[in-house]
Amino acid sequence: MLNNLSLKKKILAGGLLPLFAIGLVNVLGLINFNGVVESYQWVSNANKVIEMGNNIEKSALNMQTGERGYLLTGNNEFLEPYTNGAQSYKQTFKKLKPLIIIKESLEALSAAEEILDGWKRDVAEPFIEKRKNMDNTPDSLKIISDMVLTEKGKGYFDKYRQMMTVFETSEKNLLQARIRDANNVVSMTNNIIIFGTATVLVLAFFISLFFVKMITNPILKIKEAALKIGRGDLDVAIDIESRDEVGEMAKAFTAMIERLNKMSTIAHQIGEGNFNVTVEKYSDKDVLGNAFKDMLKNLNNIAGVAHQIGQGNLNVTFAKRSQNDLLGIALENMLANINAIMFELKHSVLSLNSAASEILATTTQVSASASQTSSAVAQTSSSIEQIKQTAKSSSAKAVQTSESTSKAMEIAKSGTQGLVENMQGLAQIKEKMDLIASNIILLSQQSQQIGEITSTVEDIANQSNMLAVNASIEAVKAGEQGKGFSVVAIELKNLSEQSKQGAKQVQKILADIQKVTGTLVMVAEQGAKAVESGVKQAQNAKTSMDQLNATVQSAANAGKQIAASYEQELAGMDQISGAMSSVKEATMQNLSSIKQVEESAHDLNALSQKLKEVMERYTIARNIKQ
Amino acid sequence: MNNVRNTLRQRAIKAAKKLENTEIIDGIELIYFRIESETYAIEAGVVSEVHKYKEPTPVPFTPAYIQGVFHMRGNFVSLVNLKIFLGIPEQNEKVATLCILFLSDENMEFGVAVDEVIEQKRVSKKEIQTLTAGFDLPRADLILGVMENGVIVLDGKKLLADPTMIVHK
Repeated sequence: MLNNLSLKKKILAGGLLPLFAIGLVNVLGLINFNGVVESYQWVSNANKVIEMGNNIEKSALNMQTGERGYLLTGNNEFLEPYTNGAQSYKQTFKKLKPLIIIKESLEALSAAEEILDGWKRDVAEPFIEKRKNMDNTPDSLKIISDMVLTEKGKGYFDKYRQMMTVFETSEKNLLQARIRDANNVVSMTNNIIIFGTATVLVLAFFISLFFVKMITNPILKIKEAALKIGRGDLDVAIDIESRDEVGEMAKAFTAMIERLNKMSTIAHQIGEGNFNVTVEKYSDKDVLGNAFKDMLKNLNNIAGVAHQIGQGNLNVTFAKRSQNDLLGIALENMLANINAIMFELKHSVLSLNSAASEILATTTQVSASASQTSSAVAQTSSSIEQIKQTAKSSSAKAVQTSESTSKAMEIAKSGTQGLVENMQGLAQIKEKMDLIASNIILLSQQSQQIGEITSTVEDIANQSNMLAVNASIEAVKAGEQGKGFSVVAIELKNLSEQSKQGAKQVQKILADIQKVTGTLVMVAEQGAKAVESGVKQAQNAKTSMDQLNATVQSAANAGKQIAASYEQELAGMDQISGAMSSVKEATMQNLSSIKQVEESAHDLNALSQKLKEVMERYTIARNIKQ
Repeated sequence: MNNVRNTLRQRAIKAAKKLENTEIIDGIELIYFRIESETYAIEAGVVSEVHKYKEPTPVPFTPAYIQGVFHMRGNFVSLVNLKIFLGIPEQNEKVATLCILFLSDENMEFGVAVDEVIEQKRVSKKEIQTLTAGFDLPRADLILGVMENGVIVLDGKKLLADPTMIVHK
């Protein structure tokens, strides 16, 4: 969490946290100081009470003194301290009473007041009254001195003093206790200030140290990394998790290292000869990127030129970029030298090439005419052979034909025999067909008769139906007695219905039979006709057969004559074939020798052509002239 | 042969069965007959008998629906063509007229030519539904009603009492 703070906030935290702690200690001291002041107020309060107690005692003494003086002198002047003392006593007592907090001293004071009041009531006032009525004669004085000597007042005042002493001692004890408290508070304040300050100082030191470490540690790491990079070692990893400015600086460093790594990889690849690498330019002011790009561009340029020369294109323009461009100068020189050599070579190859071409053309012509002669001879020879073969096969065919004709004659004879038998069979079929036809006609007539009978049946059925209806009408008319009769009528009706159905079915069957017989009659007639035409065709076939016999006979004779003439022709053909063979041999020998010459010329030409092709691959710079 | 015996046996079994309560209360006895393809019915009470058809003797100066007269047990009875009388449109296919239905009551008797008498049957009067208005027969008043199976039931009594049947006036 602290890592996420910015540097400014970290520094502020390092300074402000101790300050805050010191402030805290100060506030505590201040609070305690207030306690000190308060306790001293309490002390002064106690002092005041004691003083007032003293004043009260003094007033009481004044009263006593005033009373005695008056008693002794009778002079009113002496009464003044008495009355003043009583007054001041009352005033002081009123003021003092609310200030007292200890019950014991309050009780003592109240008791003292009561005693004083008792003195005033029992001693002072009666004595003063008595004295007012007397004069300063010795007798009166004697009475007064007796009065005084009664020591009545002394008893009161002793008690009074005793009470006041109680009061004073309790108040003094209180004062002592308060002084002790005040001293305690003071010493506590001292402790807080001394020890608190010490603790805070130590704490502040550690907090500051923590924040300082937090800020300086990453910076030290970065410094180490920077030193390593400076030495050329790019295998640096900056492990900083903070997100402040230092963290960002670390990220920038990491990016820089990555970039340097990438560039070194690219340089390595270029060193290995791979120019096909892309260099990213990170900004317009990316010097390293630009330099790499330029270098790659130049290297690619040179590689391209070298490639073109390799491909045979010597007509490339290439200029060295400076006097120090060693590679460029070497390439330029190489190009110029190759161009000069190639130029000369090309000219010589061209003249060689044309000479070889001429030789080849001449030999080709000679060879062509020789092979024409040879092929003509071969053709003639093969034609003669063909004629011979044809004559042979013709002769064989003539023999075959002669044989076939004699076979044909035999077949024709057996065919005639078969036809005669066929004609006899047909005549029998015709007789049977006639019989069938007459029978069918008879069948048809009989079925007609059955039809008539069934219509009669239907008629009867209709009538009985009618009868049934009439019967049922009568049954209805008869009423209750006719019910049984009505059942009979219904049965009769059903019966007539059934016979009607039966008749209908018979009629249907008959209609089917008639249809079939009709077609049968027709089929029989057609059959008879077909048989008749068959007989006729058989007769025609027989006459044709006889004619065929005659023709085959004459063909057999002609075939025999042809075979004989072919035999003679074959003998003549054999003689011509022998003569042609010797001519063919001679031309063959001639042709083979010419072929050899032509092959040599061909080889020569091919060689020169190849040379020319090789030369053509090189495009020589135009500005080279001999 | 066996078949016929079987049929007879079944019929015997059927006949031997006690008649179930087929009696239709509030029923009417009807004679069903067919003119061309239509089936009609008429009360059995007005039908005196059914006779085989025979050509009547035509009588001159009579309406078209009187086909003629014939002799019947000593009486001359007129034959009415119901198709013409009821104004049923002529159909193309002619069917042989086979029967004559004799209708009669105490005052009147005449025959009606029909193509076929089918059967006599007792039906409930509820089955006969009276015609609603707009039925296009000219003499719809002579029709008692129509049954669910499409059979037209004629009113025999009204037919017999119809004044147009008396020709001699």
